This record gives sequence, C-alpha cells and structure tokens, in this order.
Amino acid sequence: MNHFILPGVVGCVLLALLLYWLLQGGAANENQLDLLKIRETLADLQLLIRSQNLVARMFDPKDLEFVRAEGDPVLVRLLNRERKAAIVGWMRRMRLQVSALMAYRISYARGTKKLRPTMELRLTLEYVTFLMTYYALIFLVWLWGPFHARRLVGSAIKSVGLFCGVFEDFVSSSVMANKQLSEM
Amino acid sequence: MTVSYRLDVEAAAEDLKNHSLRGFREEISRLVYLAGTRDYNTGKYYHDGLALRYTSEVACKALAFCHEESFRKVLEISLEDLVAQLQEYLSIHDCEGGEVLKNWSKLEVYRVIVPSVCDLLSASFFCSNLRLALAILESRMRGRPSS
Repeated sequence: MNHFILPGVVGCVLLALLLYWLLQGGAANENQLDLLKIRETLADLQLLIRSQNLVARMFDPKDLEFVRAEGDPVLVRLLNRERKAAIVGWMRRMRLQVSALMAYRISYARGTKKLRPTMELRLTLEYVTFLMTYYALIFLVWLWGPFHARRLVGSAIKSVGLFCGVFEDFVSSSVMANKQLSEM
Repeated sequence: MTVSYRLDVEAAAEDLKNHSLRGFREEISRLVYLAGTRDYNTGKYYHDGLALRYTSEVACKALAFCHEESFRKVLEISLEDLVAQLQEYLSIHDCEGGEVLKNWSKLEVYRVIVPSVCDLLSASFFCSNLRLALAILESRMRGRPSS
C-alpha cells in the first residue's frame, strides 16, 4: 500500500501543475522574453555539457593510482577532496541552469494559450529524471568518493543531454507557433 | 576579423612557437612564460620581437592564442606528468632549497597563469591539479609521509 503513496502524490502534483498551466493566460511580450531567456540558458547549459571530456579527465583512475603509489594517505585524501569539490560544483551549476530553464518554462507556459500536454509531460519527466540522477550522484560521491561515481556522472550528462533535446524541440515548436500567430 | 589579419595571427603564432617557445622543454614552462608576457592590469600581451615583425595587435592575439593552447595542453596531461614537469621547472628556477616551491604553494602563483578566456570549470580544475602537484612535491621533499 505504501508503495503507491509517493507515486500517487507525485502524479497528483504533476496533474495539478498541468491544469494550473492550462488555465493560465498572459501577455505576449512577456512570453517572448521568457522564450529568449530559455534559449540563452539552454545555450549555457549545452556549453556546460560540452565540458564532459574535462570531467572524464578529472576522474581518470591513473591519477588515483599515481597518488596512492606516493604512499602518503594525506595526499589521497587531498585528491579525493579536490575532485569531490570539482564534481559537486560542476553538478550544482548544471542543476541551477536546469532549474532556471524550468522556471522560465513555467513562466512561459503561464502566458501561452496553446499548451501541448505531451511536451509538458516529456519535459517534466526529463526534469524529474535529472533531479533523481543529481541527488543520487551527490549521495554516492559523499558515500564512496568521487572516483567511484564516474559512471553516474556519465548518466547525469546523458540525462541533461536528453533534457536539452526536449527543450530544443520545445523552443523550435514555440517559435513556429509564435510565427503562425503573428502571421494570422 | 579579416582573412589577412587571421593569417597574420597564425603566422605570428607559428613564429612564436618556432623561436621563443622552442627553448622550453616542458609545457608548464611554456605556459608560465606566455602568462608572463601578459600585463596583469590591461590583460594585453606584449612581445617586442613579434610586434616588430608584425604589429603589436597581431602579436597580442598570437600570444593569447598560444597561451590558451598551452593551457589546454597542461589541462590534458596526467597528474603524474604534471608533477614531473613541475619538478623539472622548479629545479631550474629553485636555487635556495625549495623556496620557489614554498612560494608557489603559499602565494598560489599558479592562479595568475590561467588565461583570461577560460571557463570556470577548466580554471578550477587547473588550480586543483596544481595544488595537488605541489602537495606531492612538498611531501617528496619532506622525504616522509606528511602528518
């Protein structure tokens, strides 16, 4: 019975949010501004994902092997601390960008008359997936240290990549819809 | 940026690599040298010889380009190689038994060698790696595990 409570609550919240957005109206200018902000934040986020090679370099196990071979436990602790700070900082920046995107999108959705529930659902799902990966990564880094969380970093990047993909679709369809409206 | 201007910058960068930068064996030495050609107040790069052959603007662009390139190369090298390169660099400049190493650690000199056009993640990773490399060298210098 308990298994159904959390998904039920999440489902109700999502439905309530969707209904709320559907019932909202707003000014066209504010909408354009939100769309501009979405495009800018999306570009920043994509730039952040592109640094994944550097993130992979950060977790090169050869560095850990080398420091361990030095035979000084203080150095191993320092390496773990430095890498942990780097990955947590990077993930936090990514989460802030993703949250900003969602905030702009909600603001945009309030002002639009035509909402596409499928798109809204896809965006919400990708957002929830990213948040779950983010918190799992932060927890694992805290629990096992940064070098054991390498795979999850890849998953987090993949998750943000998918999120960006859905947002790109959303932006292009919104631009098209706005064009059609202005031509009418 | 016009095509001829870009070609001039490329030629100046090649010139720089073939002459001034050729003498440095380690990438970290090259990076420190290139950062040293930058005025910390204006952020502009100066190189008299290069400015004479081309223009000061072209020389500035070429130095900035080489600085960023060198920085990227240092970011890519493993911690082991970085420690080896830093040890080599410090052994050339250090005549007073670890004084340069102490200053690098204490004053965080490596912060000023980061190029101005650099993302936050790369800059923080670079500084983090340098901190680690210096800690390793200090630990080796003490000749025993640090307490």
